[in-house]
Amino acid sequence: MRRGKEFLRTLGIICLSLIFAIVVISIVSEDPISSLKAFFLGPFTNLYFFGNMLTLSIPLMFTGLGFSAGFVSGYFNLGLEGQVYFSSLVATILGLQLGENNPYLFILILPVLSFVVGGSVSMISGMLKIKHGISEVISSFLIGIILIHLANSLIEGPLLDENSPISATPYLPKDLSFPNFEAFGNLHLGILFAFCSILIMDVVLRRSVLGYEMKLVGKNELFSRYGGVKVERILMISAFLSGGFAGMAGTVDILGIHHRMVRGFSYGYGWNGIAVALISRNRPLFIIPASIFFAFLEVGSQMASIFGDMTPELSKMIQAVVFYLVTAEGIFRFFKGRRR
Amino acid sequence: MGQILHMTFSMTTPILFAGIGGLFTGISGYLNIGLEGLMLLSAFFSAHIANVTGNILLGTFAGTLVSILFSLIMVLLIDRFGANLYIVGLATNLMADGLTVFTMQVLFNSKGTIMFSEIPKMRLIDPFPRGSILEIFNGYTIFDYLAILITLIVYFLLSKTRFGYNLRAIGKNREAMIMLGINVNKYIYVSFMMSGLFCGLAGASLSIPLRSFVENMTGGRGWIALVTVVVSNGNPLVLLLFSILFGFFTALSNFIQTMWKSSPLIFSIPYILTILILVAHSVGSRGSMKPNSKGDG
Repeated sequence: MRRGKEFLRTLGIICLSLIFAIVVISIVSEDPISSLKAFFLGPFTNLYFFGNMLTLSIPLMFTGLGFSAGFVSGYFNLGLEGQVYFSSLVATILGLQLGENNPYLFILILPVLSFVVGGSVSMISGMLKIKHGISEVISSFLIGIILIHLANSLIEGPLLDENSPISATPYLPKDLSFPNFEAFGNLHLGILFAFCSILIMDVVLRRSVLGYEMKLVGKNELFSRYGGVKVERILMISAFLSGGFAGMAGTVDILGIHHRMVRGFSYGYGWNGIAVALISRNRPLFIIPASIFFAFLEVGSQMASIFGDMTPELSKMIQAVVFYLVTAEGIFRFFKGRRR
Repeated sequence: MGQILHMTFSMTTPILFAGIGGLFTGISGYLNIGLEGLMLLSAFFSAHIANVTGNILLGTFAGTLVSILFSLIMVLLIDRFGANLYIVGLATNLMADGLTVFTMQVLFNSKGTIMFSEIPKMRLIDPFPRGSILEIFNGYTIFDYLAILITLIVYFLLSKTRFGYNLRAIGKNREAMIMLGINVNKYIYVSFMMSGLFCGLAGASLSIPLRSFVENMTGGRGWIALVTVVVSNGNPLVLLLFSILFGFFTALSNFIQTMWKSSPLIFSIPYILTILILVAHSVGSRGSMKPNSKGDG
């Protein structure tokens, strides 16, 4: 019963956010019909656009899973952006240095490595929270900014490919990349990595002691401590998983699409991931449709700015509306009360 | 040296204003991570309106109004509809980022930087007599002096008036204050509106003196202000000192960058400092301003 209600509420929020999009486009656009058409139908007009929408949903699945893994136990990871970006840089460096000889082995090693890097970074904030009582909301974000600056200074400094017109590193060895499904734009094998991660997390959360304890800590820290749960340990594991999944988001993108580290390629993946996690209400399986929805918003906004007169920032505003509403439990009760 | 001193105080002003804004919600128990967004909204709208009207005061007023409006949306969603404090804060930041760039594109058909040539140049004021030691504090804009003045007023407001005492008490123990018959909601709404007001001034002080707006112009200053709130333990004077410290390090990193064209890593200096200060603060005193239970999870 409760699940049904939650599902309806989520649908309501999605509808409201789309209504917001329609209103904004209708007011601002000089040719609303074609802008609206580009926004809503654009991503579905051909296999290439459709494939690109699915491709964009892959990193969002990882960041969504990442935020969710922390959020279930009350760990609020706002450093996703930095974790995504920095981990993929570390993976790129390793791929450039060592990937030549065993490319097929490194296709597996690099995602694992970036998981460890992202997780470790996130654990710094976890430690600051446990040892020093510093809110991870602030520390994770600030550490994220530092990492982005650090990564950018490396990309524009020692790692810069002089021959490239944009700020980027040299290309990875040729075989060190995911095979892609050519009919669907850039869609690549990374989507299987994402599905597997989601399935694993689903099993962990629903069937394992660890998952149970994570949820318990998130619901009531004091009670779980009283019940003998090692709260600090659970928080650290949550922090590690949270940063870890985020770390994979960028690397999978690089192996699948860019084949090198491009400056700023992953900006926005973190915030989008938070939106994905919130709207899927911490149920890993729902992360798949939620990621596709937010990928749709991004691609739709791009379409509306290419074939209409919108700008891609439209998706940020729609996303903000989702953020405003998604935890506001009372909002639909309010409307109901009004009607009576 | 004089140049760095001057840059330090100019850099301090927006951080100080936003910090004062964050202080109001902070001491009533709400960690407002939307400071950045509120500031950015005002930075754009105050510059735009000042440009349209040719009047700095009107521009500041308009930008501040937008900022207060969005802080009201925040508190309404949190208090009335039970929304999560942090998520609503993120919503504000995201909306500000999207809305400013979107409006730039719609109104000016350009992204990145907009120069507002119709904004009058700000006069630099010399309030202190020449020849005295205070002379080094001459030659700043009205915003810079206003920020210091407001800090003193807020210090008085928070430590010497009933309003200040009640606000602090609500942050410490909300339930007890409800039982005492205090209209807690009123205080929370006012504290959020104060957040909006001062973040509005912060944004205006950022864009109007420069007579331009740059995409994502606040660039993390709201978060630095949030750190000053956390380490100030609710004391505006301590907040002032930390704002100057962060202002100095921001000025220093900008100075080094323009002088020697070093790597962009220099820009992370203020942020590295924030982390160190947070740790030092927590070692010194055990977490005195924990976010309200409403904000957790």
